[in-house]
Amino acid sequence: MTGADAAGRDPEETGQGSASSGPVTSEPPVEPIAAPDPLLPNRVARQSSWVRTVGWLACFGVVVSLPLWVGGAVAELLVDIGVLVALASAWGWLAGFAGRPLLATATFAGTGTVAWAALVDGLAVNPVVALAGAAAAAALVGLVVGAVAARLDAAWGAAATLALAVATSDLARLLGDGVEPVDGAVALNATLRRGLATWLAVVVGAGTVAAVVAVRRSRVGLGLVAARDDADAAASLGVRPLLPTTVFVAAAAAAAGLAGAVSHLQRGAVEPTQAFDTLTWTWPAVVAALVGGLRTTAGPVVGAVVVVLAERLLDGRPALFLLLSGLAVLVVLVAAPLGIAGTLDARLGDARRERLTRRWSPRRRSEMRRE
Amino acid sequence: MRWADAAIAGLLNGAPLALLAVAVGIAARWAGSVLLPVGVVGITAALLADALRPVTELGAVANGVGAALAAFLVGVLVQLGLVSRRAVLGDVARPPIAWLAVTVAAIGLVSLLAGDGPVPDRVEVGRTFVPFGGPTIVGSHLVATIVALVVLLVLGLAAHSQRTLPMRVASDDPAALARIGRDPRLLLAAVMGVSAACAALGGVLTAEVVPVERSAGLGLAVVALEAAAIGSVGSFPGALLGGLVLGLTRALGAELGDGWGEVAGHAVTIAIVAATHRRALRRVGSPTRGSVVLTGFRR
Repeated sequence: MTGADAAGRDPEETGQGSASSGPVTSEPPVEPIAAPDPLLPNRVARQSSWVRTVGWLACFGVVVSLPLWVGGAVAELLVDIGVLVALASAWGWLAGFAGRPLLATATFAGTGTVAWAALVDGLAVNPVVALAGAAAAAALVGLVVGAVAARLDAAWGAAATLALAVATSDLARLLGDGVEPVDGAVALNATLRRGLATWLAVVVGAGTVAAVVAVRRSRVGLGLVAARDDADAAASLGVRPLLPTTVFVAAAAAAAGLAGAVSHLQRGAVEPTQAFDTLTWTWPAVVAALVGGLRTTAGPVVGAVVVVLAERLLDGRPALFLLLSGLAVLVVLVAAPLGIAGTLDARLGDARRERLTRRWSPRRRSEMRRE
Repeated sequence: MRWADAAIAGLLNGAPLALLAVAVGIAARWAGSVLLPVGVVGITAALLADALRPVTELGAVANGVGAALAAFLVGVLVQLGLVSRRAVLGDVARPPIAWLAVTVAAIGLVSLLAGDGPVPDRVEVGRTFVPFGGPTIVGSHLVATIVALVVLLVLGLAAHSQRTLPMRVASDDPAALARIGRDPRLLLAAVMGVSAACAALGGVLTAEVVPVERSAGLGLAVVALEAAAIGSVGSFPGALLGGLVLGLTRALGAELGDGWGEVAGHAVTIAIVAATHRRALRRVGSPTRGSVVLTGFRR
């Protein structure tokens, strides 16, 4: 600290040199650069956070009340979208943030569906109450799958879970062959059942998105992201991803099980072969998450809307849907890896950042003060 | 005699299944990637075997060679164009999703062109043999097995050759390869091409021996993974053993009824993997590319 002030600035730079250092020049002293307002980032963040929270709450309110003021066809569409939002959000979080692209969504959804049907038909449990059983059964399977998958790397985890999904699908085809579709909720009035399914689908979809946002911002979620990026560095900071990964896979499985049960509540019947089909459950979730945008909150929602509308447009031509969706995912992976929401967010985010920077820049603030 | 015929067919199917397992092993051990055979098998086993229906036993070989060449190109192009590019999914999660997308697109294409349902049985077009009055052997099955064994032998010899050394270490130390003037990306693409060609040939020959659904891309990929898991990922004798065990199990299981063959294969695989890899699964991480399964198999 020879001659430097506490801020580490050289005395000659600040014009405060001693008399012995040389003659004092006649140039006016340079105005020191104003230190950035320490409250500025917090203020911007607080304002942004407040606006965002109100926006999300408003969206949630509108979405939850939708079944009250929409017609039958729109209600069916909402069920499909809500179910797919839940599946895509859960899968997208595991793949995009935790780095675990597990492909057992169909197994979880099928387990939840079969458990729900067994509770409703076998034990005469109320269809809505039975949803808790569906989630619990799927979570139990997810716990086992997560405990194994957390020990494998990403690619082997995907391979193992795909094998599990195909195996459970084969088993369901074997056991469900010749079995009449189970009328899970026939006891309910058809109109009531449809309305209930719509509301539940919306709640499950919105709830999954909210849970993913909460987990993503939590300490454990951030730890998993860190472990995904650099396992050694994260481990040196005390991050142990094994247990959280297992628990989150179980939570994702519970969401998938709920989604499967709600989807079948709307149909009023369960067919085991269809309930475990990978191309019915896992693939649309993957497409929605990727096309909508991984690592974004709105991505799965946007993707689910796109996928459901595409399915409706190509109704009766599932092969064409598979071909086009496969190509779409390939195009997204190559040309727009951020997906629709991610790309929009990047562009709008850049513009917003630029606007805020201009608005809160020191020069602008000094101009405002002078005005 | 029905069970004996099934056992013979299952054993003859072992070699083509071993080719599928070798495809998994090459992709996993040499390129550090899995799920490669998914799309290619879906295309070749279903579309080509149906479109180029053989009229003789050697027709299957011609189909297989054509499919292998096409698959080699697909493997190289997909690896270069998709997998090796950086994306939001990151390096570890990207390959399986890219290959899954290729598979699903292939399933859609096959279903569009040929419709759903099983590939027609071609047993009637091949000659049959009844050696020593025992179980019946179909000529095309025998040819498929012999071709698969020959290819396995050639690949096994090539895997121990110095010429293939750069391909084998391409994913282990790409920087070292670059320092000696070899492009790791091209070598990895070549590895995936060879793996895809194996998968294609195995898929077509498998479709010769057992009935295969046209939309069986995912199912056949899982069969390949199971055969590799039973034997050993990356080991040629292990792949043959896994293929034989799985082929026999599925053939005998299929005699119990429709759908039992697949379930029997899954059950045997789970039992064998659980019995032999419990210790491996207790560990976390791995010294090589983080694959616990591979570490377990190398014991």
